[in-house]
Amino acid sequence: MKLHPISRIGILLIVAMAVVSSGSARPKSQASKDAAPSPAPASSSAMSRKAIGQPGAPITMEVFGDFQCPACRNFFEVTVKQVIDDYVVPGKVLLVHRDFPLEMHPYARQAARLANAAAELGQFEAIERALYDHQDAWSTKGNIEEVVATSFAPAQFKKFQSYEAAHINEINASIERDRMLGVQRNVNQTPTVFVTSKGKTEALPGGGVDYKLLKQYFDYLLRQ
Amino acid sequence: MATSAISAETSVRPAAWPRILLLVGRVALGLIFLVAAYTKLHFNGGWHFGDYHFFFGMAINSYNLLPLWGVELLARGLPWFEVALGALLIAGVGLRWTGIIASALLLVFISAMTRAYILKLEIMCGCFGNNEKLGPLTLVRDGSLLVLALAVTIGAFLIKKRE
Repeated sequence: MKLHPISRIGILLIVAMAVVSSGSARPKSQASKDAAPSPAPASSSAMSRKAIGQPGAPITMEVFGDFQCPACRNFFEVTVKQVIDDYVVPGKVLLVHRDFPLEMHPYARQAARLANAAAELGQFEAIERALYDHQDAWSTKGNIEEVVATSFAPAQFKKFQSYEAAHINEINASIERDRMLGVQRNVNQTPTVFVTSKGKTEALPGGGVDYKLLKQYFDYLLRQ
Repeated sequence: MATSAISAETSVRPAAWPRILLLVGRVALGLIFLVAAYTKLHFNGGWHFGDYHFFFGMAINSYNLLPLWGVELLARGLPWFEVALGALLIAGVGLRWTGIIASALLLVFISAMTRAYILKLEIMCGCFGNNEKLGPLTLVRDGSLLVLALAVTIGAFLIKKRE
């Protein structure tokens, strides 16, 4: 029996709809298995230490980053700074940093330790800016403290160093927790961004996102 | 006498295998386009009919090839274009022309991917879902798909000519 081409397309569409419907109606457990894992339960204090913004913001943006990664610096300079100005400051987005130091970057963990120490002392935003703004100056020789110290008052920077020395095990554990969370979420490059809104977490394409497109997405989420 | 007439008729009848090969090729190519569209509309564990274009747009934009309006247009339209192309290929409608369109589309994809690879852009391919890193394997895979699309197109033209 030879079918008219239009009939063939009709049959094909009916079959496709049936397949799509069966996919949508699959057991919830399967759907949740495929879904991006929701953010790991973090205590509010742990969350606030490496975060910028209000904890009750409607959108949470988590950035898995490596302070020595050039793409992370570019993402921070071009996109994140605008996000801070336009969405974090007005209370629409909570920006959370997750440490994901890559093996290929020998000074990434050292930078992360300093950032964690500063974060514990309430200076995460300042240290993040200092590390990324001066990444070129420290990433070749690893003279992080010498370079980054110029962005802080000497007494304040000494506090970061003292805190890091006194709490080195806790800081390493915190970095490792972030890294393991990234591994659980299939992070394989930095920066990788996760956006959570209304309890739903979405992974954005890895490698950083253009600000204009991210802005459109945030505006869409805020309209929902 | 009747036997010799039948054998003469059989000897001039065209072989069935080119048609079968073409059928397998076009169905495979069509399914691949449908899967590509599916992964752009269904990811992170759910359908994204309302916001798929944001995610796909981010992947397209990382190629640094198009202005923002072009990125948005392509991000919104390409998955549905792939659905239509896949359906037409499977149905075998206008096969010579759908084959040409599929080949041209794959050629454009490979050109963009090769350029990004040469420029050492560490980006997502955007081919099947939004989190597939661009690398040599993605280039080989898409190159193979282009060969398949060209084979389907040439096969469709040859069979039409023979008819």
